[in-house]
Amino acid sequence: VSPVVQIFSLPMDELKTAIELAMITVDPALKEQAMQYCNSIKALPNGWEICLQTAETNQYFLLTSAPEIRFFCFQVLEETLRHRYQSLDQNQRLLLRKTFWKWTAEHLQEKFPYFLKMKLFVLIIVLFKNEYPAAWPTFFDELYEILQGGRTRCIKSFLQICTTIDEEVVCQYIQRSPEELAKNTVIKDTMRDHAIPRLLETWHSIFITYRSNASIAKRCLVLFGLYVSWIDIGLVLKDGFHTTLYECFGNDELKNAACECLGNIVLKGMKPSDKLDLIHGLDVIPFLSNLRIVGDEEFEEQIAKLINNIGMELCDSYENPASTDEEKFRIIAMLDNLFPLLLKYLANEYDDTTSALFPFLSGYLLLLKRVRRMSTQGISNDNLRSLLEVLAIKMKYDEDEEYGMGDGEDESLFMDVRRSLKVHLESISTIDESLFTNCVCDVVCRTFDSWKAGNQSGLKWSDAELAIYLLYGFVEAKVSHGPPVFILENGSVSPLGIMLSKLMESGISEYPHPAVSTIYFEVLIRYAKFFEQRQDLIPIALQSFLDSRGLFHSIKSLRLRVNYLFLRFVKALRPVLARYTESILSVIQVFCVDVAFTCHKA
Amino acid sequence: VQKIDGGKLSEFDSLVYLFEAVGYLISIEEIPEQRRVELLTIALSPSLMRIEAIMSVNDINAIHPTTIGELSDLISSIGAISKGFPDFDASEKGQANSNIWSQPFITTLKGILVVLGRFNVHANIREAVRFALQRMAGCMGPELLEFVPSFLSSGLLSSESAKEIIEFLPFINQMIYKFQVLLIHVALDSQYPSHRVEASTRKNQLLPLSAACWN
Repeated sequence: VSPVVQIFSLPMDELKTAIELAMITVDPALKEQAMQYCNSIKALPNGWEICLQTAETNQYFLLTSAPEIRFFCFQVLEETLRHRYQSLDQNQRLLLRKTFWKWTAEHLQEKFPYFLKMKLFVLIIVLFKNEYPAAWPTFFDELYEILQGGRTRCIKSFLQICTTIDEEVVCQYIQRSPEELAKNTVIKDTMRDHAIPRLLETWHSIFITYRSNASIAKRCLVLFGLYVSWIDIGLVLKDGFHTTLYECFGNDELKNAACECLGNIVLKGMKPSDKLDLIHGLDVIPFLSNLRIVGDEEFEEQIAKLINNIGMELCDSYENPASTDEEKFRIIAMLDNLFPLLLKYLANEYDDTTSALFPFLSGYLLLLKRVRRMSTQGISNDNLRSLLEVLAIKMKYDEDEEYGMGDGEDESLFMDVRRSLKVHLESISTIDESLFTNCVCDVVCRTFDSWKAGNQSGLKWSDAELAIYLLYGFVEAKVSHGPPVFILENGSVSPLGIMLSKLMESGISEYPHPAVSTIYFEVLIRYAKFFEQRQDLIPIALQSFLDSRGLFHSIKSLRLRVNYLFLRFVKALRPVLARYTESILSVIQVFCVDVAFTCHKA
Repeated sequence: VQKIDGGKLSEFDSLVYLFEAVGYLISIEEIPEQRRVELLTIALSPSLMRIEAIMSVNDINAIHPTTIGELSDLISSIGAISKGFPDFDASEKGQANSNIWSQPFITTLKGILVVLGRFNVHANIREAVRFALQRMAGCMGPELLEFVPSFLSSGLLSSESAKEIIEFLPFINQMIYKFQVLLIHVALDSQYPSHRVEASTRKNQLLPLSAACWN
């Protein structure tokens, strides 16, 4: 026993004092001593008993520090249950069980603070994990007693304990040892046979009765979603439950929870044929197609997640070796029905909503690639074309955001989304390269032509930047992955060559926006070899480098970047620059002369 | 897109790229030889003139730290220009070509040497000189070796900092690798002038290292 413990004659009182001291004292030495004492109690073999009594015996709720004192005691108890449970004898285990239920009853009378309530429920479920089913077969009978209080607090506590069971026994996000997993499997198997039907019936009944109480109804929806993955789905979907769910989509307080619950139902693992029947039986695609949402960002994101789940499940079912040709045919038909929803929510104004659909989009494009490989029929080019257009539009900067301003966090998030969109765009290229080339070429050339035609006030900077950005990424999307081709084997100019010619001839580099200038110079470097074949365009490129668009740009960061890009341009085209050398030097000699001025006096 | 982010560079760090581009442009072979030399002289002269102007100040101790920074940048800019030149070619034709640049660069080296001799206590000056020498070695070839003893005796390695010596090693390495010259002579020349041998006789010779030299 620690010497610190020995100086205290009454551990319970002293523990209380020590916890209070550890919380409130500003004296570091005293705080250290108090904490040392608390830890020594924690380490004692009977420390849990001291904590049980400390939490139990005093009327702590009269004190401001009472919840914290109890919380510490609960922590010690939890640690004992998790790691030293085997050291407890039968009577001690029984004592803990009774005490926990007693405290629960106290909570039902006098509300505990949230953190204390949650910790108490964890204690109950950790004990349940150790005892159920063999040593505590009556657990659920005892749990139902909570409901007899009839008050909403009783119902919420009942539902919360059910949620805690999921966290402690089922939740796959928590790493567990093989022994614990085996134990959890036994618990789930027993629950399926003996507890689940009544639990589901109870939740359904609570849900129906308390539909108007959003707090309770939401907890029920969460529970259906959590448990559906490992229980008989028929128990969840009985009596047309999905219709009730859809009704909740019209309830502002319940719609997000209902949507999430439906998403979890769709995700339940099953054979492809059953999955198709489930999605068909839920009638979810027609329902979502008819859903009208106005200005609800969060709900739209939830819907996008639901569509993603449906789409992913359909794609996975297609890939499943157990799928028959007939089922695959059904899947393609269902995906066709889902496609307008994919398109609609991909095009959503908010990037989080768009991003929620990326897994489905990847799966869908992969599936299209396979289908195309097997047959040229079945997938319409219109779908791919629409997708390309939507992805391209989403790659545009937000015109309302000030470019390069703020802390850069928004722009960095946008760049992440843009990168993902680009990957998907490139996937389309692997499915139908000529369609991709035509679409990109069309968007890019249309933008450059518009600028050249004098529509300079009508063209937004984000459109100009997007066109040059698409041109920049064009070569990465080519299936051949070779160097850029500017002249085709038959001697005609390639689409890339056409776009680059238009880039130079349109004069779009004069667009007075740094985003446009930035990407424009990157394009010149990436496709520098183009100028070996179109040497007549070199003066235009050099001019843009050597004036206020480039080396003399008013924005320092851009100017400095262009210094580097200019070097790369010169290195790449050195053999053909001889005749421009003196003109270039005459412009940039100012930097040689002013190196001191620029760097030390500016 | 941006592998080198302009926003994270200093103004001068970025200008170094521009000076390098100047070197690339001046040394294009299609430009007549005489014109290339003239262009190089024109490109180097603003820096040399500025160095000369600073060094002509009577009270050298009164020179402001900012001016030392300026000198350091001027020397680095010269190094950057020379980096743009093609590498020294050891073939006969190549040597003839490289000799084109000799005069302007030698003039420049002499100017840098004066700065080093006066300001070798400043780490940024020593760093700039190391930078310039390494860049110039690429295009000047063994001719630069003539100057190495002078740079060493002017305090290029006057610091006891291991970092500076380590930074100088690639230069020595470059000399040995590129010009196959036994650099021991350079070291000997700086410490034992009586061992001095004409550079032209050293090329491609590996003279035996005599233990007596070190005694």
